[in-house]
Amino acid sequence: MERITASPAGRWGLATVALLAAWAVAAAVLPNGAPPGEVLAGAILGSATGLTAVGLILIWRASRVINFANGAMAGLAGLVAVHLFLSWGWPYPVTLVVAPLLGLGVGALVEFTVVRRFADAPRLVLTVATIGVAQVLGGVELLIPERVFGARGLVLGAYDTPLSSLSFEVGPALITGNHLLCVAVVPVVVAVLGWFLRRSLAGTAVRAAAENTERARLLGIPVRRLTTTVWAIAGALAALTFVLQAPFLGASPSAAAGPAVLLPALAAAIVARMEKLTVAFAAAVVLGVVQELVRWNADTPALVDVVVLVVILVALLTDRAAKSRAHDADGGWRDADLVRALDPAVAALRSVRAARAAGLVVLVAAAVLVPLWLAPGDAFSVSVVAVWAMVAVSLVVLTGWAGQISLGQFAIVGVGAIVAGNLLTRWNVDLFVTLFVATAAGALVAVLLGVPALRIRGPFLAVVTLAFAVVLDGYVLNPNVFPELIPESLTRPLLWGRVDLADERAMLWCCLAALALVIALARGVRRSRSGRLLIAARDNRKAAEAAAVPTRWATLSGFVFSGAIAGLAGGLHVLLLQGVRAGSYQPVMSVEVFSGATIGGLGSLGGASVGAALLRGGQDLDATIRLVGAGVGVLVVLWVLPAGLAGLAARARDAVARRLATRAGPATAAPGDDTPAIPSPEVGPVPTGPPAFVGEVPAGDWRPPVPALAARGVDVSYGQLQVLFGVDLEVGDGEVVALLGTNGAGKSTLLRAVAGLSPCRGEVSLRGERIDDLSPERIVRSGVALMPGGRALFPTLTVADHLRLATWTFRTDTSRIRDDLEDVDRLFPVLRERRNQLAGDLSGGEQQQLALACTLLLRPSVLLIDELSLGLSPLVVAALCDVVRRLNETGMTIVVVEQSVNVALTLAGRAVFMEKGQVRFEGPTQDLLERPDLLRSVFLAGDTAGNGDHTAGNGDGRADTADPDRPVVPIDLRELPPSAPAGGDGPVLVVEDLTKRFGGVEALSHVDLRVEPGEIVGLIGQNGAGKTTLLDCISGFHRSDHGRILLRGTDVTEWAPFERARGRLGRTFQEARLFPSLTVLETLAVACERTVENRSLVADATRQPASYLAEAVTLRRAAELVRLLGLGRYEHTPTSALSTGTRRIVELGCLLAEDPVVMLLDEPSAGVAQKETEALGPLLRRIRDHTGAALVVIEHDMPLLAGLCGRLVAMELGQVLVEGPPADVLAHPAVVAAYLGTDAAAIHRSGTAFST
Amino acid sequence: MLPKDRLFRGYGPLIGFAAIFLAVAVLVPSQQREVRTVEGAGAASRRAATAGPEAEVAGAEEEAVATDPVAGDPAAAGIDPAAGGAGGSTGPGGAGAAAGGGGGGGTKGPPALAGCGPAQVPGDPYAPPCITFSGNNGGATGRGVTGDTITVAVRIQGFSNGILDAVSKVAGATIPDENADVIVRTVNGLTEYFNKRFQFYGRKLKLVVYNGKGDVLKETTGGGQEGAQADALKVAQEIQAFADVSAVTPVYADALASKQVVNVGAPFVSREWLSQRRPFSWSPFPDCSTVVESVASYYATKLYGSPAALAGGDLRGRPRQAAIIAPENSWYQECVNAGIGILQKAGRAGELALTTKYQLDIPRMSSQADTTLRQLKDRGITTVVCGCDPLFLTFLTAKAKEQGYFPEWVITGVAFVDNDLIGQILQRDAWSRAFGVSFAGPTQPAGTGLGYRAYKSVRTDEPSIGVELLYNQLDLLAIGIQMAGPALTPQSFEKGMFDYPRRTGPSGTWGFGPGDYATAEDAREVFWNPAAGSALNRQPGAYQDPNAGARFPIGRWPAAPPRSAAG
Repeated sequence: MERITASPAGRWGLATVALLAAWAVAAAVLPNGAPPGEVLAGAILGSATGLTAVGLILIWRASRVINFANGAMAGLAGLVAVHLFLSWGWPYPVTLVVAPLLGLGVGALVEFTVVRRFADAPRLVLTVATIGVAQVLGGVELLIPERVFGARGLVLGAYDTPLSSLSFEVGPALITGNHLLCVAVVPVVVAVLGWFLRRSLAGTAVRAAAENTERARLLGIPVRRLTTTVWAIAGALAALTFVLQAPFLGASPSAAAGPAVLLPALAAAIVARMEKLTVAFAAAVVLGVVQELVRWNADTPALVDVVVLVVILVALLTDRAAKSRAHDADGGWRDADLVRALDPAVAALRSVRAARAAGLVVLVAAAVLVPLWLAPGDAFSVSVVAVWAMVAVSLVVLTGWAGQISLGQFAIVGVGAIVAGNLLTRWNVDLFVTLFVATAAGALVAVLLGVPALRIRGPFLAVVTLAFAVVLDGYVLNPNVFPELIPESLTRPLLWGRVDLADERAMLWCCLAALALVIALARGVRRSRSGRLLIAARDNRKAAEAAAVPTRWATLSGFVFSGAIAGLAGGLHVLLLQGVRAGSYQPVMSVEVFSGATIGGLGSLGGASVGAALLRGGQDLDATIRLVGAGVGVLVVLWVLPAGLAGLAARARDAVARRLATRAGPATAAPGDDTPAIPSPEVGPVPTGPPAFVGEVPAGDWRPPVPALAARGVDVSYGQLQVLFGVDLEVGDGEVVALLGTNGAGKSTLLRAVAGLSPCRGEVSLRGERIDDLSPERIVRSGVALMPGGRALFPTLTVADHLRLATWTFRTDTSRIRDDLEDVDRLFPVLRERRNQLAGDLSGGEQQQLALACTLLLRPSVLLIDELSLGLSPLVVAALCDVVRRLNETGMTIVVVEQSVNVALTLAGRAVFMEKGQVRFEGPTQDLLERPDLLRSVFLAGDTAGNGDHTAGNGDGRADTADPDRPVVPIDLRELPPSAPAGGDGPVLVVEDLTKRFGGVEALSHVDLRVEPGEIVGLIGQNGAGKTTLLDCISGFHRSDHGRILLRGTDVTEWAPFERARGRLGRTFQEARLFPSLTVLETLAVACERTVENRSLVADATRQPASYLAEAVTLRRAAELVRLLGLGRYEHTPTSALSTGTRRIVELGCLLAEDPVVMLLDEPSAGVAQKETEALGPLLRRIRDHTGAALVVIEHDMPLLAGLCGRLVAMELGQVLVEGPPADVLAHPAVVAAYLGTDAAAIHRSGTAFST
Repeated sequence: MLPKDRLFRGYGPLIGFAAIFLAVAVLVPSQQREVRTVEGAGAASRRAATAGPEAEVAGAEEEAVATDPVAGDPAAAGIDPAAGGAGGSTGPGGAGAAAGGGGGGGTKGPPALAGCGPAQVPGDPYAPPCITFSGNNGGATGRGVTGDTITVAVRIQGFSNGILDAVSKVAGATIPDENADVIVRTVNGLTEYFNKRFQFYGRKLKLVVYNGKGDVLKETTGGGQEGAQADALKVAQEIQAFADVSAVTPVYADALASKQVVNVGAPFVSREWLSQRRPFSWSPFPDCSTVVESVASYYATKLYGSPAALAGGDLRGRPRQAAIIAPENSWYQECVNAGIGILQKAGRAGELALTTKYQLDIPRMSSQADTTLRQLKDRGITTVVCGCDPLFLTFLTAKAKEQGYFPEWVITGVAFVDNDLIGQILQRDAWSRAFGVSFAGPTQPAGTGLGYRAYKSVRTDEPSIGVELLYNQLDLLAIGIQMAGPALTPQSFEKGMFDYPRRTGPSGTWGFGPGDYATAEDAREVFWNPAAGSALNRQPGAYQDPNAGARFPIGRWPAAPPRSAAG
């Protein structure tokens, strides 16, 4: 059996046999059997659905969005083609060709006019925009028959074509040539598309662009054009589906079709995990057959929807987790925009507090008084709006915080309504008890829907909830199915025997009070542990688990909370409607509330609820808004305000607050101004004229040569945050320039600006030609290539795919491709061995080599390298340095960002040093060593300087050592509370005979490791030796295939990562991503998870003492760490806005917060400036001394390791090569040969030994 | 800290709140009002009517209705309208006394009613018996009623964006671009007509046209309940209307009934549905119970036991096997079940081989029609009784043609299917085998209908294309108001409608009674002739009457075999 399932053909064969067996069983069991004619009809319908599923997957892969406009795109193009045949009498075969061509045009037009406008918007916004597109196209479609063709009626039944005469009967089904054409064409199209995506260069580029758009553009791939192509193809597919089906199914206007019409196709796409086209197609065919058999046998048409829901749930529940770490990536899904809170310093201003209090008073007064003036009908409408706002709040929790989309939230409202209605009408239960039970029912349903959807990352909850909404509307609320379940009529009760809720004003007050309660509870959650964990789990599951956060439970608790709110809303809604009836909770309502919340801003409670309320209220106000509200109006609003109303409000708020802050004086930071500030006046602008190293030249005579690359007065801002301030940079032809600087100085940003990725003001020119107005693709073609640091690859593409993609700009030049690939093989022999491996499965070093290889294939004249040595072994760094030198010898101009001055010295004669967004030094690299005012540790220097001279903060209790112009604050760990004892006498960590395989490759082979309490063990080895895999196995992110892991004597082999973390196993990661949406303070608070005293969502939501007392302790601890680590300036900055080095410091803080007995550190110096690295070793040792924890450190910085570790373990090919005292290991010939090499700079990446 | 301390310190407020919550729930629970079941007159009612403050009033009045004759009722007052001329006069217990105070209005003195002929409006076949009135009308006898006015609400989009519009678009009818102003003008003109010509006992209809929050198209598929409820509240509590003549969707009609507003317009709902909302909901369209009774008796009388002579292809002449198709809505299914019951009771259900449903979901109709048609073929159905909407029938007939399947189609007369405009969009070859029941009258050329003539009698400009629909809605209301007498309440309105003598006109016979809140009392037989020109638009395709316009009471069809154009 294993042999059969190993090959694709075997798997398909097995599946076919299983399906035939299922058919036989169905035929025997079902009341009306499963006649061949029905099966065939189902397969034909399913094949068309499959084509739609393929179109959806294509768009998903290109734009990471579910295209709800698919049906409308089909309708517009398809209907024209059908009428060309029917009304104008065009030859049928011609119309078959015209339809996909028109579809191409429609798809391209949609991409060009709409999708492109939302390129930088969160995907949620684009998702809603596609709903608007569907409305617009649907409206146009309605005009076509009459206006263009003079045809009557919008609905077309089946019609004859030249193929209709070809027919035969299979049971009751007359199969005509039209059916056969569909059956013949669709699989071919799917196969061609499958080939296109998997095998063609353009298809590979599409997949690449979906995974990492920026990197694709840096390889010269015209991402926009490709995206347009994909949308065009999707349009063609949709039109083809339409025109193939129309002769036997007819056509109806797509304007009437809601998103539910896509459900079968979405179900098929889910079975294929939005990836494999052939699987999606096969699933659609099978689903089509199943649907047909259900219709054939069942009395209730809506049962088909139940089957679709079941298929989706089963597909999700039986889906296995990703087989390789390449699929761990989130694929670039961007969530709701962040609406950042007001800076606490500003928020603390008296004027701001007064304004807030006044606002609250006005709100409360309005809520109390306005209903008095409202007419009953209006009061009712406002009550409805309040309920919708509650549902929007539940969406903020689910989507804005937990990162999951619900397109069926009103179905959960419906469940709450049914439960409440029954309790009130059947048992006359007290209203509050009723609402409580409705709340619980909503929570329960949310969990039941959420558990399957949580298994895989992606838009799957959206589909599950949409399917549930359809089932609730068509099946559960169907009086023919559950006549007793539906409380069709109820009276509003008398509250406490005196408040008559039949009075619309009383009901409105009740709804407004509930809304206020819900917002207060949600705020309680967001501002406490539960909200933090929800976002942490969404942003970075691994890091959260490493911090002892049970991520699944955290997300599930978000589902529970969101469902509970929706359930409560249902309880009120049924009171408003005075009953639940068929049609009370149609799926379109869920889509509308989602649209409204997105317009408002799903990152903000206020924004989302106002957005949903405005959409619902707007529909009440005006018939025009009602007609276009969920369509054109939404599109226009999103166009103007991609961040939603909340973004607009935040901007206005910040403007006002900034003015208040300015008035309050300099002690108060301006909101949003929490990354590098304008430099202090004494720094001054960089002097113009000849650079220092060219020697004395009379100013008047000096004529600078035209530089290869020049940047002048470059300013770059990210949103409201300015990062670069008038940066000048000149690089001569054939020169190598090292770009150095403190962490967060803006080095990478400068390279991004040059490469066209970050819009900038100022001037960037290449050999005198301006390039700052060019797209990244054109800049690449002009000869400038950037190798980005960090995410430089496409994890799910193979090495071969990467190399092919890198030839995009010269893809027709086969001889150049052949020659260049041979060069790559020579330069990077390891890549030849890994040719068919997924990039995500490569080691860090191999990835870096692949990234450089791809960049070099572009044959740039100016090469920009961001972090050459990041995460690489000395041997590889030496090799890469060698490559760089050789490239330079060929005349290539190179700018390399490097943290290690030592490495930079060997590469570049000239260095540019940046700090706080400005150039602070420009001259010979060697001279930089004479500038201790620049080359110093900004964060950790105090530690290296010893323990004295502890300077206080800036007076408000917040240290500000990140500012290089201020006195450095040393880190004194004695200020931290003492660590809990490790307990036990033996080794704290024992790894016995550990083996781990990926596919057939043994990444770890019988590894043994013992770590004693307080010991510091260094792990070294070539990239790909298995070091990170060992840490992943120890911390539980990979299940080992053999062996066991003992933590403090307890076997934790089967424990989940968060359980191991609770057992006091700490872990940091190579990339130090942290939690991009959380502030530094919140990140550190997440790290305190193991020791928090309260883990109750209920307590957090209701602000119980258990919550706020525990929260106070946690935040105090986090704030203490902020102060100790000199992160005061960044305390309220999202970690996504921090540089790599600063994030490393935060990560260290997290470790201190976790207080583990074993700390697993994966390249803690990666991306950290050399001087910080030099300070890091002593700091880690002191951390060890203070906490008593054992440290296992993966590191490529030998001076750091040698000074830090008591023992080194060298690994090679998944095995322990040698271990012992550092000096012995580093001198071991095998280690030298396999890992260290002989390049002194590469080995001594930090420290002064090398440079002196 | 002890666990107990920790508990109370940690969760004290929550525990306190929970305790208060429970105490309140136990000691001062919210109270449901008394739940009463209002039995429909002659029809079982399973809907629990509730008794809020308004319901209590209504209930009290209802009691009065049950025990006392309605004041002002011509019949109750001893008037014999048919006698013509002066009749009796009301006694002291008449309208004014029964109605009680409230505003006075009208003329002074005791109310006096007299018959003045068989028809209030000569030439109007549906006009109620003529009545003359003098004296005091009782003033404000109920919500929306004063001594001078009867407030009637019209939700404008019920007509401007409503079913008429949708059906017209689907049917591809060429309609002039009409905005809401034309409809308002038409309604006002018709109101003027009724105020002039009908006896409203010193009152005038006061039309309040409003732009509602509801979405008529959503409501037609069962949704849009929030908007419908808001609109009903506006009508009941803000406009304070006695009635609404724009209740063209069941959702809105239901909302109005729950607010105790008399409403006219719910299309093709079941008799039970209307009875459960009595005395508030009325319809100028046949209720679907009547439809199935008529169609069932048509089948039992004219088709049962004989071969399918009008089917085509292989089916022709085969023993009849019938199928019933209807939407999945609960009231349609109630009607279907009732129809099957009739056939079973008559011992003529033996040929019924298939009963199937479909969802009113436009995007999925084509695939549902696809499966349904195979089911029909598989069961060897020769005769299809489709109580379907035009869209489904469009797909189904086209699919039948595509599959080379030509059964007999029994027309049921629901959802405007018996309108020429709709017949013209159905597949010609398939629908040429259609015959059956129509409740509408013979198609009249534009500009000759009662509504058009009524409008033109008071205005010179052209009315809306939907003038006949508007007229019927208002006519029903006007009949009820006149028949109710001076003391106008929903209950007296019901009583008056029940007392309305059956009238026959171009739209068939109208009559009302306990359990009967819709118009159709008879039907005619039609068949579809694709070659005949329609009087409506002069296009080919029209319904024709094999019986020269004869109408037959429900359940009493002549036994002569049906005809079809296909022969």
